[in-house]
Amino acid sequence: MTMIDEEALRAALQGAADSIAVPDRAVDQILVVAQRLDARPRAARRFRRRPDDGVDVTGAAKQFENGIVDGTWQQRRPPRRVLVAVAAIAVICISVAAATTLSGSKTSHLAVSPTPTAPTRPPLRSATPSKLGSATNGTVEAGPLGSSTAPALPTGAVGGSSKVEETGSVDLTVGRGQLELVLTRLTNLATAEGGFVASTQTQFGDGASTPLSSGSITLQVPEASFGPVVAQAQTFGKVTALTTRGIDVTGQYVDLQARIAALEASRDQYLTIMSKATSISDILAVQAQLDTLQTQIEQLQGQLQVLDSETTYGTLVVSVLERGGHPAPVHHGRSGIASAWHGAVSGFAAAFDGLIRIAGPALFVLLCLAALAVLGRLAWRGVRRRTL
Amino acid sequence: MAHGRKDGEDLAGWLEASYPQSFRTACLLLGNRADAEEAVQEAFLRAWRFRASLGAGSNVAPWLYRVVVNTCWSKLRQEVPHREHRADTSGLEDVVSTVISPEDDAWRAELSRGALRALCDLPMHLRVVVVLRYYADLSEREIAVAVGRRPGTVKSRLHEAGRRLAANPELRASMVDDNDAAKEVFL
Repeated sequence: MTMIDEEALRAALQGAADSIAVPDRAVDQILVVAQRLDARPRAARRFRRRPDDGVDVTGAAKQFENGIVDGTWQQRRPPRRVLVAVAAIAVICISVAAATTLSGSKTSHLAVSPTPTAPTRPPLRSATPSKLGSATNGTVEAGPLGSSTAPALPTGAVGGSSKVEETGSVDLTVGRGQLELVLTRLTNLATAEGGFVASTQTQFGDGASTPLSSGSITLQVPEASFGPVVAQAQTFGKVTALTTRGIDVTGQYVDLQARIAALEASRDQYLTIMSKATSISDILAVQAQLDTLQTQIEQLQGQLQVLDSETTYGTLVVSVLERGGHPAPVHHGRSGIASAWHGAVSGFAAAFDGLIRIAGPALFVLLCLAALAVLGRLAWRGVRRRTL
Repeated sequence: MAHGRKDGEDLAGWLEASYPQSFRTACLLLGNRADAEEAVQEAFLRAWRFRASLGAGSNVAPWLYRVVVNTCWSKLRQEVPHREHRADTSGLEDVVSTVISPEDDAWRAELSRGALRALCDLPMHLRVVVVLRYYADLSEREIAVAVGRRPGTVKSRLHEAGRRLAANPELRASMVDDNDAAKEVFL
């Protein structure tokens, strides 16, 4: 291997270095500054040469010395570490302030909001039909039901109380084999509250065409007990749907009563006229009018009785479904190739789902590794800066 | 040369005595007279400020050279960002040519210029070990202390630097020794 002559290189470097002129008194100036540095050790920073300065001492060193004498010298430039630290602290403070501001605004927003935003199961009204709204859907709205601030319904001129027709439906899911038990409990509930069962329908599953058992029962319960019955019925199974509705028929009821009263007054007058009639023709004419009035009165009284019945009893339809898992699979009689094809498609979809599912954690791990790599590189660069 | 002294007066005397060699070392490393003067100034102030960290019985020379080398490295990395880490050849040549008198031996002057140009062609980590080994006359172990590397790394770098200098056409004619004795020096 061809190598260089060590002695020749040493001589050459020595000769070249010896020919470099050393500045005069430079070391004296350094030592003067160094000895004064003991008084203010942290004030020592790098000194920069100015073009018009001489070789003996740099302009910064002069400034430094003058500053030490009059006590006004300050650092010319803060170190980069200080700047980075200050910037980091500022970023942290800004982030904390922003987070505090955001959380504070969210809290105040919640504080001034009088109503919850998330829909919850509606509180059913107690036993006060006059507070019930005109139409409510229990699955979505919670408003008028049971609310003490609901507007009062118009009071009827006759009878002095409002008339509200109430209907509702509840869908329940019960355990396997509990269909009949639940239907029986619903019947007992209606009877205990002074109501009755209007109709029932039950369908038992055979595992093939109708895999699940289900039933439906229509309850007629007194208006005052409608709310408690609905609340009690929800405890018999898992509620999947709930609907209640209240229709105010007070106006219609009052109108019927007024028309009946007017017709009855007319009938009384005709009866008075009839008692004073002297000819047969007059009697027959008045009788015809009386028959017409009586028919109208009876029709209106029938309508009034229907309204009375509807507002006296609330109608609650409860649908009960047994929880039986998934319906029985339907066999299409596929061939082996078709079954294999469907299996392949299902496997591909499952694998694709799994791939998407693990993409999130994998991305998180990659981000963590990238952050570690960046930190490691910064640390390595920091170490390398200190050594050659 | 005083070794192992922490006393201010002793250190001041030692710094005063070692300033010329430190300045010339910085010149060879940086290739610029003004940068070298600033680097040595800063290195000496650092050495003065942290003189308490020099334990009793320690060898001052590698310690001071380490401060000087680190200061030169910092200057090349931070304060001279627009220059390459190779020294400015023309600057050093100007420095040398201004002080070599016409009466000097022409061969020696040409040899010195060639050595400087070849030195400046080396990367910084190789240039440092060459200067400390062949100009400051430090041992491999002392160079290891000065550059903060293991002695094996210093030895490897000296070998690499010798190989590159030997491949330099300017130095090849005057300095290359093809015998095995020269090989042992670098191995």
